[in-house]
Amino acid sequence: MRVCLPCMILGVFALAGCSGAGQATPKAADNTSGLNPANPVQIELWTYYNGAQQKAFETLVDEFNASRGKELGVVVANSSQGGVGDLATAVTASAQQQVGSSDMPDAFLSYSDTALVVDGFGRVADLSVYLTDEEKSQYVQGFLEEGDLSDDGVLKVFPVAKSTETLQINGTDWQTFADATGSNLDELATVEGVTAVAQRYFEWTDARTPDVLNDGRPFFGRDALANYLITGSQQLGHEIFGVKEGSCSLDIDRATMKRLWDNYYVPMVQGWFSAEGKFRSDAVKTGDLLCYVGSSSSVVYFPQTVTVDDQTSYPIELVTLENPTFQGGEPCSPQQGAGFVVTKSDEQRERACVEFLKWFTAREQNTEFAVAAGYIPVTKEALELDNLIAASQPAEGESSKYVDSLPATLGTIDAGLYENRPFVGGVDARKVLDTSLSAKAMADRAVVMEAIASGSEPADAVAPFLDEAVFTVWLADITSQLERAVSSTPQN
Amino acid sequence: MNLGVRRNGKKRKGLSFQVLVVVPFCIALLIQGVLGVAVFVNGRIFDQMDADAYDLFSERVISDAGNLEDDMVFHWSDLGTLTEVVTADVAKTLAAHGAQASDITTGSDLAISIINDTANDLIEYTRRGEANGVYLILADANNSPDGARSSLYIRDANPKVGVEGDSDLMLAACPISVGRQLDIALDSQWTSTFQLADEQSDQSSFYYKPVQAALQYPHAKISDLGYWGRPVDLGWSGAPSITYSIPLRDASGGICGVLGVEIRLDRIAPALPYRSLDAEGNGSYLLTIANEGGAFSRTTGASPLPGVPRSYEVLDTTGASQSLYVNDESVEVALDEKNYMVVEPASGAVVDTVAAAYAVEMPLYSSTSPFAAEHWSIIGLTPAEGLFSASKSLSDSLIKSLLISALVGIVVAFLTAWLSSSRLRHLMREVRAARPEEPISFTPTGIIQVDELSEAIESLGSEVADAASRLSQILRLTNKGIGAFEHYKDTSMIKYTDGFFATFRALEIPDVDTFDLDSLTSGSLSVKEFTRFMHCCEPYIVTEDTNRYLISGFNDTTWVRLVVMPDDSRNRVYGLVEDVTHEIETRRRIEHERDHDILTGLPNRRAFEQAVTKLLATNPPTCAVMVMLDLDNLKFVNDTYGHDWGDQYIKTTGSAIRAAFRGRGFYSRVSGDEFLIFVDCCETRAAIDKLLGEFVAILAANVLCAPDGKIFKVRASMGAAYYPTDAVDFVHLREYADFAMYVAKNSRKGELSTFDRVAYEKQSYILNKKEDLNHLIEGGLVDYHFQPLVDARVGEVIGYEALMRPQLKSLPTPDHVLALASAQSKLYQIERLTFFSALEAFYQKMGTTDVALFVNSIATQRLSSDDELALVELYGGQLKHLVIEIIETDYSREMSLYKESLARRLGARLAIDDYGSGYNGETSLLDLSVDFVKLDACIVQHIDTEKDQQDIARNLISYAHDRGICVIAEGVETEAELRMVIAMGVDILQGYLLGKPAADPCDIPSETKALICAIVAEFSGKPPLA
Repeated sequence: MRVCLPCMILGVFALAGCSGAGQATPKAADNTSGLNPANPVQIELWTYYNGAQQKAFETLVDEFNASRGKELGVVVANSSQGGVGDLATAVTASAQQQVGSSDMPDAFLSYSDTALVVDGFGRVADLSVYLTDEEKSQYVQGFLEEGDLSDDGVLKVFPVAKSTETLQINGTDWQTFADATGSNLDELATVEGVTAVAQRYFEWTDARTPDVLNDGRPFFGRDALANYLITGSQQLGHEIFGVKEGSCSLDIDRATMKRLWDNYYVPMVQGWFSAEGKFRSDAVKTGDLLCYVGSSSSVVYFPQTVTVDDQTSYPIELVTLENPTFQGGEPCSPQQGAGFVVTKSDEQRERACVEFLKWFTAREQNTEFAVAAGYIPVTKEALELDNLIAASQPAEGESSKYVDSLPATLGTIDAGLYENRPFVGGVDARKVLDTSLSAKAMADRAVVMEAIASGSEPADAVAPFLDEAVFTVWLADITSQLERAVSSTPQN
Repeated sequence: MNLGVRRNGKKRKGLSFQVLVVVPFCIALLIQGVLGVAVFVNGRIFDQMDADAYDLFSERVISDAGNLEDDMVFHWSDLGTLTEVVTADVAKTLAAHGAQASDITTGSDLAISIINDTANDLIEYTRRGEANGVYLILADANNSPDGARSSLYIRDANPKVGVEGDSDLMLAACPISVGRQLDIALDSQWTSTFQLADEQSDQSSFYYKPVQAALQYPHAKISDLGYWGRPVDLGWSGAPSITYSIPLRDASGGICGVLGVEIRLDRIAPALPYRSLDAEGNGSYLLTIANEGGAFSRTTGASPLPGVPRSYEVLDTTGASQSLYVNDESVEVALDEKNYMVVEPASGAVVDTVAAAYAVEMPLYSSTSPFAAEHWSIIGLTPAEGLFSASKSLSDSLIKSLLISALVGIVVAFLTAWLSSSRLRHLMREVRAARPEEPISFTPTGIIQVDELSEAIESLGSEVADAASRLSQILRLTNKGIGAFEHYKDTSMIKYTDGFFATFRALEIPDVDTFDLDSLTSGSLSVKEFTRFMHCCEPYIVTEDTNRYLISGFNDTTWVRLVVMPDDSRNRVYGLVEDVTHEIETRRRIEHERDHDILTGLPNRRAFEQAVTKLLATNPPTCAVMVMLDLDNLKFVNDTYGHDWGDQYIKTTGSAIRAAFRGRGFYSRVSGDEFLIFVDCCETRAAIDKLLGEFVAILAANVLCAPDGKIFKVRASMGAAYYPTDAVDFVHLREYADFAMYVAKNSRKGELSTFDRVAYEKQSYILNKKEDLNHLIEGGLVDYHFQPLVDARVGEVIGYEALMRPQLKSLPTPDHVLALASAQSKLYQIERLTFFSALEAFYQKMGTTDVALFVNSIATQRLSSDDELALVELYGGQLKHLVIEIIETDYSREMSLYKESLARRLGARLAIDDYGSGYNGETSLLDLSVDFVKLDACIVQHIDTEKDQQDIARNLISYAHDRGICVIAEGVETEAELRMVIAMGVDILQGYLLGKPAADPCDIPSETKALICAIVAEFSGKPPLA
């Protein structure tokens, strides 16, 4: 009958205290805590994938939901939000909870600069706590570092697939041209070489139909002007965005910018280059373009046929070359390929995202996705030529294009990559670089075309645009635009 | 709280106070809890809560499904105007080409024209509408096997927003010429024709189903032939879409193609807000098409029926929990017993709880539609436990609160019980500590009934105290030294009566004075104090028996007895003290009288023996002596001056002994004139002897003045035996001392003789075999053997000598008997025995005969006159043949004369034995007139060779023959001796050569006779050698 009174009282408190058990901080080693297969969590992912990439991603998501996701209690829903820009806009809007915007997804594909913007709203989770050092060591060091937005060991962008820029060529039509003009692929190793060959091609095509005047066709295009300007300037020794601790100092060198101008604007206004359509590969599809510099992953979009008109189409072959470098410049290509940014929420959802991403970047899945989507994997293990070639077998259709392009891709990577460091105002600054030159070139080309159509000689029509003053004005304009972007305070 | 258990471990029956408080309290709590639960359960409150939750849930599903239905029907599939416009455009183009629907082929100018002509309308619609894509896929009269169809397929990446410059529009499929003309970007997946999968494939249902319906129902309005297609990746964009397609007919009813829109599934997802389905956001939505199987009824729509589960084809899902329930893209919904729709977990799912579900049909088709059998439905589902968590958590918290209140109640009950019982315990301690002899008072507990109880105990206690003090008074009145104490082991207190310490006071033990006994009136002591008190008494305590102790007073004149009585069963010890001085004094006096001689005051023999025996046994001295003292002249004093003076004589001796040996050993008057002294105070024999010497002197110095003025010295014979040299036990010491004294008495009276072992052993048989002798005499235990005596002249037997043979082994020879008898003054009896027994034996054996019988007679003994008379009476006629042979012993003339007269009176003859040795010498021959003289054996032995013996023999023979005395040669053993004695003139022969003593008298052998005759013949004629 003797009952310890304090014990009883303690017991009562213990009973009451059960509900108040503290929440533990996430532990990387205990990597499934918070997840419960009996009470699954749905996470929503936003991507900008399309076509083959979206298909590959969707396939893997389904596989995850049916296997690992089921074990862990994670269901992944994904939606493609159009292009990179669309996604960035949508996410930024959601992050600011703008009227009419959707809820933030649990994770979204993003470049580091967008991630920095969203992080600015305090909506980005640090994933480093969810990964053990051993797990981290499996990734290519540089890829993880890109996700360390604040240079203090955090991981805010989880790398899933990477790419750089390569030169994709309609090999079939090139051969015809080369045979006719004695041109050589080696000429395309330099930016200046590309410009020269483009002029030659324009003239050759113009000459092929003597009865039709001024029907010279563009040879070359670029998907991403910002990449061109940034890496081109870098090749020539001037880093436009010198980022240090999140802030940027501009380095706009006139001579360098002039060379960039001469090798894009000048050929553009003369019709040697073009920027029709959304992606340059679309123009290749219709025979309107022979080659372009674009994401190495765009090989999956590279057409297998050229459709000339409603009745005529023919198959073409893909030739991929390394990203051209300015003469005398240091080879430098953009490191790109967005990673997933995980929205700050609760441990369960963040861990669910990380579990998916870890699964997605495991060797098998990462390789499968890389091959299908034209990317290069992010883990050291998967990023082996043998592994990638083995995964591409049998090499047919898109995977054969991937295999064909791999040497150029890896060569470009080896030659040197430039990693965009995020900085405040970086998104706007990049947008300036992306659109300013391209838009001016296209607009001026339209003026030229109009003049030609109204009877002017092409040389006359072009002449006003080749004046140094045009460059000077543009340079001043873009400089001021960039300065404005860089000095701008973070978006509210 | 062990009130139910006694301290000594015994269970006390009954209920503890806590039990009395706690149990009813708990029962009340239990009843309260049960009632509470019953109210909830009976009131169906939980059921109602569940029903409410389910209603809320189903209403939300219905509402969300309605919204989606609105979107699908009124927004996304609102192709009415477009259809009309496009149909008109197509008709116009066909008319322009003079063609009809069946003329349309893939890639033909007609087809490109139609597309070209409809493109603007489609683009316009795309901009305006909310679809993700709009497509016009034309029929192909050639039905090209690769499925290529001329078509216009425009995608709108962001249908909700109209973007300037159509930059969000993409051409996914269109003839290149149209594409160039439209100034809309080509999609990355752009193709010039639409690649339609084969007819059987689900991928192409969106095209063929409406086409087939249009063919089947040629008269149906095309708006009624609209078809909702299952999700399909229409343009290989990687993102699946549902489609809504309407067939296009030309004027004559020919199928021109299909016009439709696609809605990407990720657009549908926001229309299915699964998070709002339940509180935790664990719900899921399923976009499904219901199976019409089972008892499908249009009125109940796509819902399952009781007992008839319904399966649904799952097209799309939102929310995670569906992954536990969707099995291979289908799900089965059933009604449970409460008519709630439920879904069982999918096979292999990790949960086993059902999901609550609600299925609602979206009536996309009119009942007359060819596709009316496809019941697009929305199913909302959520884990049942989540949905019904309200009732669950209510019941949980109800149970929790009941448990907590029960716990709190129990704690309170225990606290209450504990607090109140602690008061009781306090009271109980007071009760236990209460001394009955003192006034009792208790601290009030504050509990009325208990306080009343304690008051009752108080008054009871005072009565008990009164009673106890009365008992003490009575004890005091007895005026007897008596007291008692009681030790309560539980409380370690010792209570005592008034007389307890008063009784001890009589002992006058000095240390006890450190206690102020007068102050010890409170009636109780602690064990410690009591123990200290008893330690003071310890040196005076003698244990009499178990638990009986005698405490003697400091002056050894008072005594107290302490009796202790442990009572284990009550865990107490009782004790009684009593003044026993009178008892002890009486006992001591009796003991003194028992142990002491009244006359001398010395210890008596018994006490002495006990003391010495105990000393030897327990504390043997290294050296000691036992002295036996015997007064020499007591008989004389008694006879002369009377016994009073004899007593005085003895007392004087006793005083001398006490004076000499007090404190040096033990002494005792053993009997009349005998004293025993044991001295053990000396380390060495020399010291003892010195002491004894002093004693002899002291004794000698004691004198007694007789009434006649004569002065007597005290004279005593003393014998001493030493311990341990002579003996180590009392009996032997005394015997040896006695012997030594006997020796002294027989030799040098009045002196001290020490024990002589040799002398003792020599005479010991005399002392020891006294009884044997008596026995022999009284029983006549002797036989007689007879040895022949032979006539030396003729060789004939002339008589026999009767020789005593004792029957007792302890007295083997006649010499022993004689020696003993002499010592015991029993020679007369031997003399008498010899005469009667020898005669009896001889005549019994021989009958009447003429031969002589030689009987040995002790020289100093006389037969009584009665003996003589008896002899005469018995053997009257034979007595003349009797020869009384006086054996060697103390000779006296007086006795010789007596023997001579005896022989005369009896008519017998006399003989002298052993002539030539011992006492029987020639003097006896002078005094006696004997008939025979026996030549001693020691003279006969070797007489043939020994000249001296021949001389003695010759003298004797000559002397005897001169006086007419016959000479007998005794102990003749050899022939040479025989020849010699015969030659010397001996008259009679005796010895082994002639015949040994035998029980029966017998003749000698004839050759012996012949030998004698021969010898006699040899010497006849010759003068005898004598």
